[in-house]
Amino acid sequence: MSRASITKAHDKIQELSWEPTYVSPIEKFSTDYTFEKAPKKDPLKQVLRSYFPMEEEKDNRVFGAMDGAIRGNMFRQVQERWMEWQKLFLSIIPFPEISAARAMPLTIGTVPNPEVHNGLAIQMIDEVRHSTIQMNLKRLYMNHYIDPAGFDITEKAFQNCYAGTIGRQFGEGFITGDAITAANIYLTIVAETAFTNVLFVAMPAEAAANGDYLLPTVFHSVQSDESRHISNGYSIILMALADERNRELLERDLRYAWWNNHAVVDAAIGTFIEYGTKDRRKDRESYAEAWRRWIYDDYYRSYLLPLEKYGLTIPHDLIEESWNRIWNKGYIHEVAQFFSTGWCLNYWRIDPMDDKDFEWFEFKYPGWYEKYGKWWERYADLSKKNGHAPIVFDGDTDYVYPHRCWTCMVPALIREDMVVDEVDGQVRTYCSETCHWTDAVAFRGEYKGRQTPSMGRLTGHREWESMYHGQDLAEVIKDLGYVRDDGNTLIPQPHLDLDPKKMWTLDNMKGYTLNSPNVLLNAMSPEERAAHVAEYKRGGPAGRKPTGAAA
Amino acid sequence: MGKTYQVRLEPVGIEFEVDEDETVLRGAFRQGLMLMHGCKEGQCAACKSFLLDGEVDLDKYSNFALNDFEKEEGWTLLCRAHAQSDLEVELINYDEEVLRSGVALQTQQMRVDTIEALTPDIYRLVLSGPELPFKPGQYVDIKIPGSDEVRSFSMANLPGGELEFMIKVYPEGKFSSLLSGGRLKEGDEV
Repeated sequence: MSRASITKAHDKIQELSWEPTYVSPIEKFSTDYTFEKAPKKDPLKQVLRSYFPMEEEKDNRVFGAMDGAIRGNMFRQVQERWMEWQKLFLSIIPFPEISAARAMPLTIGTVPNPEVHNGLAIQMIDEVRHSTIQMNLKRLYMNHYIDPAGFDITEKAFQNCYAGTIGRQFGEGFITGDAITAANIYLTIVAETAFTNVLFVAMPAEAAANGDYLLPTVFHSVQSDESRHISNGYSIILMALADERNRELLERDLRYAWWNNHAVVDAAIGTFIEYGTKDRRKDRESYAEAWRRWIYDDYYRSYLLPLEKYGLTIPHDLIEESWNRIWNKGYIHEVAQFFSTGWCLNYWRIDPMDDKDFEWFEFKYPGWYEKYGKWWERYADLSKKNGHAPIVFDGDTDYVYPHRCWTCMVPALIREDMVVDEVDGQVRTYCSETCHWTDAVAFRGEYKGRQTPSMGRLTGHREWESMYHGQDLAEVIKDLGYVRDDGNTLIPQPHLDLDPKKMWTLDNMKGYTLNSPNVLLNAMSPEERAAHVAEYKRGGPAGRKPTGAAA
Repeated sequence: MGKTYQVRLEPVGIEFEVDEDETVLRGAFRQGLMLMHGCKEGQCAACKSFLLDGEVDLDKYSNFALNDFEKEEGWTLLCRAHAQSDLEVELINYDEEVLRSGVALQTQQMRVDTIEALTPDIYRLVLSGPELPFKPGQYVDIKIPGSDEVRSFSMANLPGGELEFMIKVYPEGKFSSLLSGGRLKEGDEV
């Protein structure tokens, strides 16, 4: 029997080659970046023989864990508070994964080195696997969890829910516009190298603490592919840095990608980890602590800073401001509060925070109770169905419904940071100056005097509420499809009690009109608008109305 | 149009006709039979089947997909095979339900109902006409007006009447530029 040579096998793959001699390929994806062709080592050469057996073993272990979870009665023991947020998370995450798969042709088409293409092709296979494994996890939850409603409509709900659209914006960022901006800087350098760590390592740790040992199995199976993706991205950014013409574009894209990832991922994962958990042991990491470790120390200091010597302009100010938003401006708490305010427009159940939760929050974030405690106590009161309005329409709750950020689609929750500008003939609101800059300056056909025809545009109906402006709340929920099989009981609930008498129905939602803050804003006169915006920016924290006289 | 022959698929026992000018695979698709396949170019071996009886002529194919001793033994590639007699073919990979689930190929004249720019580079195209049955996920080849070339697009809607497409416009796209340039108009026939 002849000896199988890995070198010969690798050479054979090179023979198949990525450069066709029989046809001139059509340029489907464009970039404004320029690449000098420089020979690179193929990182895949050494793992070639072990890739498929390794992936097969990982898949077998996940199947085993799924069986074990069923036999071990995990689904009856896991914290419902945790599982409910998985209805949102697992409905979103397969889309970024499949978008990452679709992003690979963008880099393969625009980076000329065939050696890099093998690794990118394998990444595409990985991402399809990730998307599928997550879809199957969600299906298993649907089949075994005590309240499948919400898990059974995830594909539809993800695309029509205000929270799902934030995830969609994230996933679309991987595949639209300039191929390198999307598939390298946004996807690999920022999302995969930095934020997948909180997504797929920190968050699954919280899952385990809540009795869900299946999610960590699945997500660690995902994350062990990530290191190869990180090295794909690293090769490409080094090539981009080698050409000085790219540096301005890199600076633009790193600012956009960093801020957008922070705005979206920190909002979501922070909420799941801190508000989706029943584990209030004091030694468990808060999101801020995990962020400091994974994003600040690991990513920013060990990965990004060393790239400065190759000519990369790093957005130090934005990294510090991200930390500032999380630690001093309560970003996670504002987001969780907003998701809970809108409980009736969700497709999962959110139970109130209680004293044990308050104690943990105050310990981890001193000053938390003074800002957020009263609102959560009110949420607990209003979660009982006894004739009053859902909290978002309750006149006695001190919460000003927020404007949405046109760019990242998370609301402008840190009130003093909101930016308002007329862009493309429409008055738009942004959560921050960086998101405003992303729409008004970065995503344009020209940047700092150079032509950037490949750069995408932010498009679509980016304020969710404008889709339902002026409509009755019950009609909206029915249109969204967030109603249980009896045609009346809502899928979302502000508590975890499945007693039918305690569950809110469409009947309780009639007579409340949903208005779009952006439609109303555009209808105002310039003077009304200026006064309204000034008042808005004096508000908060926790959405409270401004106190005292205007300045 | 050349001579026609009968093809019998075993072990499912399905019979259909092929013309000697078309491949067995194409003949099957034409009649709505979903045979297992991949590249349709004789490279991937997904359509490799065993010829129990009959003679075929093969178009150019890759030795990686079908090597010489396999061919001698009786294996064939359905995407390359032209029938020279009635055939009996043993399928290796098949799902009987999927096999029968196809929609027979047809050509249809349709009218452009709507052309709408959804974003700066994505257009919505709606074609209406006699009902063209399809399964979600399938695509059609649209003939470029004034040319013999076609471009393939997947339907973005559910079956039941019109055909709706979301088409990305490329600057030199032979079909997509007709949408953005206004050269294809509502009311035109394709």
